[in-house]
Amino acid sequence: MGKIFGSIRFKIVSVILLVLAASISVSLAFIVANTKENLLGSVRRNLSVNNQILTTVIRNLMLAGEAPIAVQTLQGLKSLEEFEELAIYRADGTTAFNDYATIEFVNRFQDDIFFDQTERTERLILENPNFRSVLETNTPRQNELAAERKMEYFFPILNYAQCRTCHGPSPFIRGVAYYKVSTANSYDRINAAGGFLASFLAVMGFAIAVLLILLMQRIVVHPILAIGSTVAEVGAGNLDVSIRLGTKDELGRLALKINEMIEGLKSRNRLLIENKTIEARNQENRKYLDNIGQGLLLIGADFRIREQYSAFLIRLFGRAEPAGKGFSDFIYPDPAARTEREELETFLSLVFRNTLTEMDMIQAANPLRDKVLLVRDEAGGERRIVVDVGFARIMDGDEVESVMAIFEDRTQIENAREELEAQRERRNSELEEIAAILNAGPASFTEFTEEAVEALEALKRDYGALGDGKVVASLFRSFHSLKGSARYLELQSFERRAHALEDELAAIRDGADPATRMRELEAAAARLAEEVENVRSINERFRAFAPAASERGSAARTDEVLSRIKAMALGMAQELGKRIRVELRNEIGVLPRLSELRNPLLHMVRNALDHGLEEGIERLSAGKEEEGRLSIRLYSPSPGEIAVEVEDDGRGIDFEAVRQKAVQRGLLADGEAADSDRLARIIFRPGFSSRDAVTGTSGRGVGLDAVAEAVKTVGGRISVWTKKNAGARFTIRFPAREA
Amino acid sequence: MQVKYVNPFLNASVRLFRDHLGLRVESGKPFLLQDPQALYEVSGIIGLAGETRGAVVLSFGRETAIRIVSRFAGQEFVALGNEVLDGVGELINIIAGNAKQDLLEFRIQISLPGVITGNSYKIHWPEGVPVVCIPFSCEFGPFSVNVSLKDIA
Amino acid sequence: MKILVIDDSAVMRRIHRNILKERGIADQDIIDAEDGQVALEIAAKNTIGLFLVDWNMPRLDGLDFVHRVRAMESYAKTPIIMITSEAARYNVVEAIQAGVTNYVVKPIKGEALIEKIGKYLDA
Repeated sequence: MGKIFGSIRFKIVSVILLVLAASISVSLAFIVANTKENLLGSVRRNLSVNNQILTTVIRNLMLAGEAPIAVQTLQGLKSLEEFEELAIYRADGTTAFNDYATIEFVNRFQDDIFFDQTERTERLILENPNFRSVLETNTPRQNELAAERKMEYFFPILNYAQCRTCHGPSPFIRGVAYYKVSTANSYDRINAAGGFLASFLAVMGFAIAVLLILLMQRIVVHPILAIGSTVAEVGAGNLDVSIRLGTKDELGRLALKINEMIEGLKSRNRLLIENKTIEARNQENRKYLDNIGQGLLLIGADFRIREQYSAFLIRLFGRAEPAGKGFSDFIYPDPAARTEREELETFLSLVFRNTLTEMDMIQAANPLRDKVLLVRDEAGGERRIVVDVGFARIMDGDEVESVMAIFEDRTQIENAREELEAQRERRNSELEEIAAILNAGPASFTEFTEEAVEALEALKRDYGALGDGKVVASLFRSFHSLKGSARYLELQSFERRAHALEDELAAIRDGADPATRMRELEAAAARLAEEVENVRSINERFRAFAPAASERGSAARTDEVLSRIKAMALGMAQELGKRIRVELRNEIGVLPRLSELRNPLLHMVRNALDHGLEEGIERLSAGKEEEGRLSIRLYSPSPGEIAVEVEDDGRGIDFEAVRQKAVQRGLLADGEAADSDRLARIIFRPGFSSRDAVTGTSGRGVGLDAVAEAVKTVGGRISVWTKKNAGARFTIRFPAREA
Repeated sequence: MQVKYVNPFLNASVRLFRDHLGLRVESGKPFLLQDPQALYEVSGIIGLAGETRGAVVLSFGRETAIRIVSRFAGQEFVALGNEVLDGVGELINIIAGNAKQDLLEFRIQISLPGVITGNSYKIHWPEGVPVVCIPFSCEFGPFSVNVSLKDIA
Repeated sequence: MKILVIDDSAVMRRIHRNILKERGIADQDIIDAEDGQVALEIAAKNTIGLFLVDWNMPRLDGLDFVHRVRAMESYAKTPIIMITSEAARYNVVEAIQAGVTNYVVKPIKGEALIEKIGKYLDA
């Protein structure tokens, strides 16, 4: 309801109707009143005229002495329908022409009843104010009796000069003529006129109203509603609307302005949506970049890295903000790496500029394939990573706009591979240990594990004393011989771990600061300890099942050891790709101090295989047989003396190289003479690697000093015979006393 | 004479004949060539200089050469004409090129003097170094890789 | 479209021709040249759509040839495929700088070559 009453349509319509109604009513009232006035005025005028006629007639009649005619005239007039009442009153209120005396007189005179005797009213008329007023004021008065629809008219009859002749001089006013006429007619006429007018005006008004309403509707309401509904649409979100008004008036202009506004909104909306889409796309890109498991970055034509890159890169390189940096600076932050930076920049320029060449050929020149890089992370530590970087051109028409670099982290793969290897190794080592124990018997293993434990304890004890070269050398020797034993027992993974520990000790022995190697040293020792534990536990289990290690005859043991050494030698040779023949000559049966000599023996055999004996082709070119010859001989050179001899027909010891190396190592002064004996002794010095002795190239090897140590333990001596290209022979001689 | 200089050529040869030409190849025991000129009829020579000096010579019998080149060229040859010799030269070229990759770490220059044939030709082996012969056999016949290198320094 | 094969070895020229013919190229569309000099003359007299160049040739080697043919206006962008027996990086860089389009390593497998030049044959 309120909507209806509040609407502009209603308002306009009601305004129009009100205005019309008001104006119609006002006009109507006015006109009606006017007409009434006019009509009543004309009735009055009529009456006045009538009265004048009447008075004139009566006067004239009276003047003519024809009073009875006057009376008749009056009577006659009275009967006119026009007049409700028509009377003439004397000033005293009595009705004229009804004085009986007169009447009688007249009647008698006439002998006829000309006048009836009218009733004598008892001067009621004197009470009528108008009557009195006329008498007083000598002016006609009219009185409208609206309720009865009548009009009274009082007219003074004056005593004119002519009248005085009969009537006497007084009074001045003889009487009052009284008329009462019906104004019903007039009123009816007025009403009719009013009614007619009213209906006419109503119809007119209605027509005008309708017309006005229609016009208003068209000119004002419709445009406003049109505008209103369009605006409502816009409010609801639909911007594809516009107001269609052709008019040039204010509403038309308003409509145009609103249309412009809608257009403005539309384009702003579009921009907003575009921005939102771009924003969303950027967010999505950011998500990709943050989560992708590869390093991605873009390089611009100035070889600088662009703003966006994947989060993976940060993790990979351990440092932030590649953006803005030169690409080669980022990869090689070390200013000393000039050649590598140049190489990379040359490559980048090929990628960017040599668009004639296809990308897969350009990849052939990529310096960053499976490349090892050193990265320095925030903590200041250095880390080794392996990356494989692919490059892709991003073209803009025919030109290379930018280049995407895709980093794959191979370090993990490397690590995983290493891990896998380690696991496989562990598994293999266990199998190996089992097989070895089955082969060699638990007894050897017990010895072995005891040896290992002892060596590890010594290491732990001497952690603080690693500054002392002798200590380090001795530790080195014990682990080296342990390694040899492991080899002998075919414990390859143990051998490897012992080798790793050896490496650390060697580094320290060769001058590295113990403090810097502590961590690796401890780690290597820990790994070795782990392995020892493994061997020990498996061994324990075997010992529970196997019969107690029988004390076999020592002779058998000696042969057993020898054949194991032979087997080991053959195995090693195969690994090295060398073909050899192993000769065993046990001329004494039981070897005293077997346990102490076993390791040096092993060592010498290894030496011969590693460094003495050459590969087939080399041997051939030296005029020898392809197959190398290794011989191990146990004999008694003189009574009470035992000799252990290892001989090979390989390269022999190059004394010249030994001399040079000795000079290098500071064991000999430059230019100082040294005969072969002296040089032979030098090769037994700690720190002098057997490799040094043979090829002159430096290497981390174990010195023959370990052998020398063992020889000392049994109270013997070691000597060496060698000839270049013919081979070498190491002989240990010691007194045959049971320990 | 070190293996490290020789192996690249052996590997490249095997790769070419076995992998690319699809021949079954077997190697035999190396031996010293008593008569350094006793090679097969067709020989392709690769010269080495630098850290080591000498030659690697691939030697093929006539029929073997013809058949191998036929397989290589995709066309049946029957005689030891220029095209076949040219083909042998190309094979040597490929072997030398591929071997270069493994020799990058050494300071060695490789030259390709060419292919020689006939019943009497002489190869200039380096002085004082014996010639080692590594024999091969394939389904088209035998061939050999003959090496003589004098290591400098 | 004419293809120019440049190799000092007759066998190699034959091998290339066979590979191309197997791919459907007409015999007369394949032109041989045994060295760079001759090749330049042929290039000047014909309209070549693709070059296959051996890198190691006696008189005018591959690199030289590429430099010179690229200097000819009509061949500024024509595809040139380098055929080499070694894939050392320095070789590749030089070749790229001279304007080579792509390369194959000897011994060439037919499919490998076609893979690299296929798109140019259909052009």
